[in-house]
Amino acid sequence: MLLPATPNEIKEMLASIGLNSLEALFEDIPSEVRLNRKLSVPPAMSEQELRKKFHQLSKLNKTLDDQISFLGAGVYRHDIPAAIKPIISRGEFATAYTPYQAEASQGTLQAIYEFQTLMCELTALDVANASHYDGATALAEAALMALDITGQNEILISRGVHPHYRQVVETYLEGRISSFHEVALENGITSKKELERLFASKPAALIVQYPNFFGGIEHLEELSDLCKKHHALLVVSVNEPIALGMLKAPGELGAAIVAGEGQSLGIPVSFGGPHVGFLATKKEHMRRIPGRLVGQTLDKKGNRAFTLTLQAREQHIRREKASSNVCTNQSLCAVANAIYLSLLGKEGFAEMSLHSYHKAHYAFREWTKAGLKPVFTSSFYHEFPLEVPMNANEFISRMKKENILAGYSLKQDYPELPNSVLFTVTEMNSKEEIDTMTQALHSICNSNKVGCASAS
Amino acid sequence: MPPKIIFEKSVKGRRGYRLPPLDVPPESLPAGMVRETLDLPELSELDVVRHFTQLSQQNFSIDTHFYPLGSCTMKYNPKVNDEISGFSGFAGIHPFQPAEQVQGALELMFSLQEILSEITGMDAVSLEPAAGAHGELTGLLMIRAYFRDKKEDRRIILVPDSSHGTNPATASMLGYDVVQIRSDARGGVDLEHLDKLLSENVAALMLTNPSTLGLFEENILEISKRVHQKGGVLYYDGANLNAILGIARPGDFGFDIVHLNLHKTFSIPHGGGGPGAGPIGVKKYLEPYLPIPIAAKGTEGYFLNENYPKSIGRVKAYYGNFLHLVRGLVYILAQGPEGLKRIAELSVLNANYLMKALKPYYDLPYDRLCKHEFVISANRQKKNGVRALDIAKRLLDYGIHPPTVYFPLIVEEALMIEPTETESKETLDHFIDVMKKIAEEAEKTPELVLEAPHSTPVARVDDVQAARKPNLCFNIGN
Repeated sequence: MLLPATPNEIKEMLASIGLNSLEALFEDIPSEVRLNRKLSVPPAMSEQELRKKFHQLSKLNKTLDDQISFLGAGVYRHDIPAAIKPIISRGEFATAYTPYQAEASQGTLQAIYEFQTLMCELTALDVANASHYDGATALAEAALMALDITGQNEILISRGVHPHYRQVVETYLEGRISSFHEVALENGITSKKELERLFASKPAALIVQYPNFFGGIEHLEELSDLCKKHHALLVVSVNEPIALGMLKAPGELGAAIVAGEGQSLGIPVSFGGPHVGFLATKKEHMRRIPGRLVGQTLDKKGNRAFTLTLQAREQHIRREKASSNVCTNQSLCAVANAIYLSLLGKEGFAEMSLHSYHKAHYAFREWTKAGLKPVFTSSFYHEFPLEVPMNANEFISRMKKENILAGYSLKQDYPELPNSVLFTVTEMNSKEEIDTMTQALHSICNSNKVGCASAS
Repeated sequence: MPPKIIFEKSVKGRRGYRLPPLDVPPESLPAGMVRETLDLPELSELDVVRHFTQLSQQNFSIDTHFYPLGSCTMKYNPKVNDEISGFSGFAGIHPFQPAEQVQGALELMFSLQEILSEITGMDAVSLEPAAGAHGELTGLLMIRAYFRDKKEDRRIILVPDSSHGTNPATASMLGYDVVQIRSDARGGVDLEHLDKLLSENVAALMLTNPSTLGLFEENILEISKRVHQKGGVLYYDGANLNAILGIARPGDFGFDIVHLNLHKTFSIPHGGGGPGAGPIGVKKYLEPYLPIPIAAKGTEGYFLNENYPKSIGRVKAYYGNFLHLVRGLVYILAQGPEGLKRIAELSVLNANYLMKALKPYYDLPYDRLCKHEFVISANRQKKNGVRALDIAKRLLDYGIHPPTVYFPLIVEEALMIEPTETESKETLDHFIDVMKKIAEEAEKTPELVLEAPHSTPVARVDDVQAARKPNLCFNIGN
C-alpha cells in the first residue's frame, strides 16, 4: 500500500507549519532514544510478492478440508453459507469503529441489537451483550459477574468444562484472589454427589458446560435446583450453540448466566480466532453484565433508533469504577452470527442441529461395533470419547496415515483417560466418511497386536 | 424511515438455507431434553442479504468517509490483508491439529513475534491477547506474578489523568488501587506529583506515549528512571504507537511491558468494534510470566511452547485472534523498514498540518508540536451554546466522521483529532474548510449546529431515554 502524499505536498505542508524537514517533527523525542538505524525487518514487498509468500506459507498447513476430520473439542467445522462473507467484508461494516456516534452507526447498532436478540432467543435469557473476545473469556467474565452478584469469592467449575476455558477462568480469578474448585465427573457429567460436599463453602456459582467437553448433556435442571438450595448461581458455558437448536435452552432450565462461543455460527475454524464470545443473563443482573450493550430508543423526530446504552458500567465513562475493562469486542463476528442465524432460520437451524446429532450417534454405533470402547453411557450431543486399543496419540498417528484426523487425545487434560480420544461429528461428515473411519478401525482391530472391545 | 428489525420481516415457512438429505438413520432424541420452540426469523437468502446490506449502508466507515477519530488510528485497511487472511490454509485449520500439519501458521506466528519485538524494542512477545484492554489485563497479571515471586505486595497502579479509561479499569479489575498523576502545564506527567506518589508500594506506572493529548512525553527518561528506582514496572499502552514507528521504540525509553493494538497501528479493520488483536511484548526479566503458549522453533520445526512454569496461565482459548495476526504480518511486510518510518512521519505531518490550520478557529490548549493526533477545545463555541458534541454531529452532515469527543477528560469540550497517514492533502484541506465553516455557523446560525445532524438516517438519538428504559432485546411476541 502506498501513501498519498507526494514529495511536493510534503514540502508544502512542512512549509505551512514552519518546518523544513520531516525529522524536525520529532524534535521532542530525546535524541538518545531515537532509533538511529533502520528497523531490522524485511524489505517492503509488493502485493504480488506478498500473495506468493503467504500462499507458500499457507500451503505448509493441511486444512480440515484436506482430510477426513473428526476433530472438534471446542472448535467446530460447520457449513458456512456463502452470503456471510460478502456482507461482513463490506467496508461499511468492516472498517467502521465502535458505534459511539449513533447517527453514523445505525447499521452496526441495529445488527448488534439483532445479535443480542438472537442470543436471548437461543439461550432463553433476557439480556445479551454485544459480544466478547471468545467463549473462554466470556466465561471468565461470567465468573467475575457471579462474584459481584453474590458477594462470595469462590467458584466451582465442572471438569466437564473445556480445559482451555477452565484455565482462562482460573487466570482471571487469580487476578481477583478468589478461589476456584474443580468438580469431578461421574459417567461423563458433573457429579452431584461431589457437589453436595463442595456447596458447603458457599460458592458464588457453579459453572458447567452444556453440552460439556465430552459431548455429555448435563442435567441442568437438577444442577439448578442444587444451586438454588445453596444460593449459588448456575453459570452455563455453551461451546456448541448449534446444539441449542435441539436441546432445551439453559435459560429454561435455571441458568442465571450463559457464556458461550459463537464460532459454529458462520465463523471459520481459523486456527482458533477470531471467534466470538457471547454473554447473556436474566434481567435482574442487567447492570452487572460487562461489555457493550445496544439499546433501542427514539431519535429527535420520534423514529426508532439504536444506541450504545447503560454505558455508565463501562471503562471509558467509569474508569476505575467500571464493571469490566473490556472495550474492543468481536463485533464483526457477532454480525456474522446474526446473518448465519437469519439465513438458517427457524427450520434450517433446527435441522442443522439434528444432523450433527444423528450423524454423531451413527458414528458412535458403528465405531463401538468395530471395537472401540465407550467411556461413558450418558446422553451426548455430537461429541463422545471412546477408548482406543492403544495409546491415544499413537492411534491418532495411525489414523493420520489413512488421511483421517481422528479427534482429540484426552490424555494431557484428563490423565485418567490415557487411551481415550474425543470424537466430533458434524453435518460436514458424510456417512461415507464415517464408514471410511469404520473400515480403518476394522483394520486396526483385526491386527492381532491390539485388543478391541469385541470383534464385530 | 429506518429499516425494520429482521424479526419483523419474517414470513412463516420461508427459508434461506438448505441442508443435504440426512444420509444416516436417525437416532431417537434424548427424552426430556428436547426444546419445543426456537423462534428464529424465517427469510429467503435475498431477504437476509438485502437486510444486512441496507443496514451496512447506514454506517460511516473508513472506506466511505474521512474518520479522524482520535486515539483510534482509523487508517486505511489494505484489502490484500483480508484476501490473504482468508486463504483456506489459514482460515481452514483447527487449533488442535498436530504441529506438523500447521507449520505455516506456526512459522507465521513466530515471525510476527520476532518482528514485533524488533519494532517495540522488547525481548519477547505473546500474541495471545484479543484486544488492547485484554493486553493490559495480561500485562498487569504478569506484573502481579513478578512481584509475588519477589515476595513484594505492591498495591498501587499509577495512571496519568489523561490515560485511556481501560488503564484504570484494568487495574481495579485486578484489585489494585488506582492513583492518578496530574498533567503539567505542557501536558506531560507532572514530575513533582509523580515523586509524591512513587513509593515501594507502586507496582507500575501505565503510560501512553505519545499521550492522548497527542504529545510526546518529553521527560520519559526521567520518568523511567524514577519509576525504576522505586522498583516499579513501566507499562506502555501502545494505542498511539503509530506516531513513533521506526523513529523510536518503547523498549529504548525504558518500558518493561508494551501492548500493541494491531487494529490501530497495524491496519486491522475495526469491524464496528472488534475483533482486534493486542499482543504484548516484555523485557527479558518478565518473559517467564508470559501467558501460554508461545510459538517457538525447535529441532523438528515450529511448535507451541507451553513450558513456562511461571506463566500467568492462559488468557484466551487457543492462540490469539490468529487471522488478525496474519493481517498484521502482511501489513508490516508490505511496508518494510522505510515504509514503517514513513507511516510515523506522515501521520505526524498530517496532524500538525491540521492543528496549525485549525488554530485560528478553535482553542488549542496545548500549543506545541504534536504527534499523530492533537486536541482542540470547543470552549470558544460554547459561548454560543455550541458544544463539542454539536460540532461532532454537524460534521456528519458534511460527510465526515467526528473526532473523539470529551476525551481526554482534562480538556474541556475536547475534540481529539487523528487524521492518520493514509489521508490525502485534499481530504485534510476539505476537513479544514468544513471545520472553519462550522466555527462560522456556531457564531451566526448556532441552531443549525445544535439541531444537527440533518442528513443522517436518523436524527439526534435520545440516549437518556435509552438508558432510562433499557430495551436491549426485541420482543418477538409483539
